[in-house]
Amino acid sequence: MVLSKRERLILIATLLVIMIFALDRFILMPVLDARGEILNQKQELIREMEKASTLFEQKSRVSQKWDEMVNGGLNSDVSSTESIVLNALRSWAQNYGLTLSSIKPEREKGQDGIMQEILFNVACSGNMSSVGQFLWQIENTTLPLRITEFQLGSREEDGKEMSLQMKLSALYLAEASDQTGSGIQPSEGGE
Amino acid sequence: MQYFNIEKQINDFSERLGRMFRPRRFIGLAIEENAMLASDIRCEKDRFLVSHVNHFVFPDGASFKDPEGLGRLLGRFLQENRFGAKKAIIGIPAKWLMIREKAIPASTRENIAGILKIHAEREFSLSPEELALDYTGLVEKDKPNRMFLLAMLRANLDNAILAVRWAGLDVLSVTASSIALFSRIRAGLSSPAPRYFLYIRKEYAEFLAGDGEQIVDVRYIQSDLKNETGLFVTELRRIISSYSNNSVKEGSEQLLIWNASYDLGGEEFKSLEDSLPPNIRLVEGSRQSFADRLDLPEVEDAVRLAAPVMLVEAYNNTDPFYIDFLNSRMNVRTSIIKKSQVFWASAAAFGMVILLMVMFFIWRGDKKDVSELRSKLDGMKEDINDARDVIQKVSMAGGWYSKRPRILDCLTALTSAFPEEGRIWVTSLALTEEMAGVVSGRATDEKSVIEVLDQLKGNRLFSNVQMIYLQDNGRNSEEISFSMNFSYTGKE
Repeated sequence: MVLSKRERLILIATLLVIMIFALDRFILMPVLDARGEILNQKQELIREMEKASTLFEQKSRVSQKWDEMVNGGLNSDVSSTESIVLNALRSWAQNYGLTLSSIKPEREKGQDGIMQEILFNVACSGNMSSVGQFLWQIENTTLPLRITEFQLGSREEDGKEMSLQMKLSALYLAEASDQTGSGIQPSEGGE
Repeated sequence: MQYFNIEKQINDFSERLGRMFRPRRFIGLAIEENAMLASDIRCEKDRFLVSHVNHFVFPDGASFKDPEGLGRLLGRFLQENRFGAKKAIIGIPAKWLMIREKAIPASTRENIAGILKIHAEREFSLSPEELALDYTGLVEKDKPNRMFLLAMLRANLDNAILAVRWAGLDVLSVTASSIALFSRIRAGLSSPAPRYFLYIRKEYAEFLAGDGEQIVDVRYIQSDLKNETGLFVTELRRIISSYSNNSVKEGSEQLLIWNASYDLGGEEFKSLEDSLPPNIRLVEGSRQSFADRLDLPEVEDAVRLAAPVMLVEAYNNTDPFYIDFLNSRMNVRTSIIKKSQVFWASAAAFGMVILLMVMFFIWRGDKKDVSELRSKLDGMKEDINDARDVIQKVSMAGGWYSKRPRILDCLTALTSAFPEEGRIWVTSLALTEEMAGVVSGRATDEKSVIEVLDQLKGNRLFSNVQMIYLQDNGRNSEEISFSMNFSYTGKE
């Protein structure tokens, strides 16, 4: 079959277009897609690296604070936390002339997470100054302790004898307790 | 200043590429009267070494009229004689050829081919479709061209090609045996080159006349030099007389003889020499040097079968003598794509390949980076988890440390809202974790309670301050009881 000049030109142009299309469809696009995918992965990993770096900086900033918390009495043993808090409360009450009528620790069931709470219901009485000092001591202790409920009333008309009822929350690290399997038993103790 | 010649570069490159992919084994087939001379040649560097040579005589009834039958017989013959090459060069006899001299004005190859076709139609009284054409002579674009148009019947060409193809061979070229032979023998001789050539076979001979770099005539002499010496010599003299000029000095022109007929004696050559005009000297081609060149053991056989061997040599060393009816110079096609365009297209394709390679290497580099980053992150996994754990713990435990002393602050702020005189006093205070409180007490008058309420409302540390109740304590008491709630924000 003999093709005219025009027909050959059309044939060559058609073949060229098909070749360019095939090149684009089967070589260029897959290569660009693969490169795009790799670049996305790279960007993602760089972001993760940056996040990790930020995390390490944060850790170095809070590490000292964490050490202070642990040294201050943040304990991983529920029983010893309970015991430390009970002793501290007794000691402070004694120091400031408060009469402790009851301290009742409660361990809440169904808590999960790396940190858990022990609640203490405290009832005591004393004069205004003793109550103030006692409160100051609780609020400034290095122990992980905070007042969640507070009720202050005067026992007598003259206001010299005050009654104080509080609910305190003490924090402990649950993970170590769980790992050691120390068998946390709800303490029924009270005074 | 030397410029970069694109066309020359392309031609050089094409030639190198062609040389690289050129076949290394060939079969030369010189067609004779009811026979073919066959040679199997292998090409090693620039040397052509003969593997096999043989003479295929057509069996009774076999001819080019039945190319299929002849081809099958030829194929069997080649197989039996251990011819292994698959690429064939066919040499046709001079009696199939017709030659005409033509003067063509300066023109392009395309135009020359067109003009020669018209001339061929006139000269041979046949339509161009019935003829196979080629021409000798160099094409000059800026001066008139002296061309020699060679023609053969298309039917003969087609039959020869078909027969060879039926023998299982691939035909590369179809040329004239005696022209190829003269071309190669002449190349090995010292100057001046012989003007005439006589290729003697047993019952016939082929005569060529050259002029410089062109073949100007090809003749077939249907006489046996041994048995019909007189007739042969007369015919030769008649042919030569049309070219030879007696005025030139004695022995200035040479007739080169290649004796491929093994039964000729000295007498025949003597009568041949005597019959030639005095200005023509007889020169015989050196059989021994030919046999040595091709590393042939039998000189006689080699000389007899020289034509097919020379077909292969001539095909691989084409000169202006070389004609090719299969790949004729007449079949010039006007290229619609210029060589420079091919060059730039190739350059673009090469650039594209380089670009793809660069992209591939970049991609590979990125992939390596990704795998390094991934392994680095995997190695940091424990440290990351540890850091995350510590930060989470500090954040969670912060609530047990950072908000103190809130209760005392609240008590201090609350106390400052009450007057120092004992007109109003608190009997109970309750606070929740969210610092929502209820304060209850007594007062001697309502005004004091309202004042305290106003004080609390005016203090920015408190919000949502509301009176819950304000009531008399009863008939026997002048005191009134009150209760109000508030929220301690702790922010001024």
